[in-house]
Amino acid sequence: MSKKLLYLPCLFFLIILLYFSFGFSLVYGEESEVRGKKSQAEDSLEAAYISLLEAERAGGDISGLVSLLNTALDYYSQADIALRSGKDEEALKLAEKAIEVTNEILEADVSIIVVSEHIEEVRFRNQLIISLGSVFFIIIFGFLGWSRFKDYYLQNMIGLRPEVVSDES
Amino acid sequence: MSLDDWYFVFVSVCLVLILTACIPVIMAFTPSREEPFFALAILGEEGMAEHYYPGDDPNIIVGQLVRWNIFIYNHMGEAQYVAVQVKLLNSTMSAPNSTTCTPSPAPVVYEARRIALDNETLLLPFSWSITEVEQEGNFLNVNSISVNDETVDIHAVAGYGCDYRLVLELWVYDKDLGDFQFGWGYRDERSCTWNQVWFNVISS
Repeated sequence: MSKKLLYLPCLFFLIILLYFSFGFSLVYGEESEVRGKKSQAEDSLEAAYISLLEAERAGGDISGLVSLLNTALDYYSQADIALRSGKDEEALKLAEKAIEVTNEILEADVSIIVVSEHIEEVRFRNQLIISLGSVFFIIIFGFLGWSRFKDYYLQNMIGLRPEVVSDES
Repeated sequence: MSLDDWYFVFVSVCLVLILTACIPVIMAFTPSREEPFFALAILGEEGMAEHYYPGDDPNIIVGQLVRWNIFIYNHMGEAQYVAVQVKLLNSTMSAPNSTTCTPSPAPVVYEARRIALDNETLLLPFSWSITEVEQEGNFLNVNSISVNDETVDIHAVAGYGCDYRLVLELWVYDKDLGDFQFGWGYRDERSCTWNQVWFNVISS
């Protein structure tokens, strides 16, 4: 009987310990899940920005994707506020939305980089051809124009040359 | 004019034309010498540098909504990932330092992140109100602030509720560091921009 009485507080203590540790891990786990999702969203947003920057440097038009990325950033900002206000569930949903939109950008971005790099190459090549062609035409027409002008000028000068008239009277 | 004079004119015109034809190709190899910069400003409700307070009265009553617009202009030569951090300070808390580009140590009340294209101007709506205050003797403690319909807990104390200020700092994403930095770098120099608006809080 006395032994049973001795075990009873130990059992009670064990139950309390288990209850609190389980409850704590549940709450902490939920919070860390939200923070993890938010951190994942942040990484995705940074990756999307870097790939958009590369696409822009390659000469691509990124304005449409930037507006989509700004939508994802709105979700991220809202998730941040929700997390700070203790609305974990809402924060989780918003962070997931931000990741979803960012993934769309990352998928679209690969093709835009390839296309824009090609466009930039073609644009530069065309510019080079136009410039070289223009220089070639200027030189050729310059020479032709100059020789025609020179002939015209010299003929005019000959026309202006005073004639010596012999006086035989 | 002699033929030699005409020859000089002709060659000069040809050289100018050749140079003009080559300009687009030369430009492709020449880096821009323009100094890049950002501009940050707080604008009133109508998007102008006026009417910052309801009824132009800087004494803000608890619960009173104040509408501003955050103006950001990107002249960095390419798209930039920026964050505007809003901080609530009293008159004694240290403000950002423009010389050393050190941000204010006050906690962030609100952060808005955006991608700004080159030469793009962003106008971000920013509405706020003081939602909860606590009077402690001669001091007024702001316990929470609502920004764009979201309430955030904060603690900022000021004597008689006077001389509070909302400070806006522009943070720029540095892709080499993989993090946001207060300000931006250009040729071994650091620049930064921040802005503030002062106000008083009246509990009722």
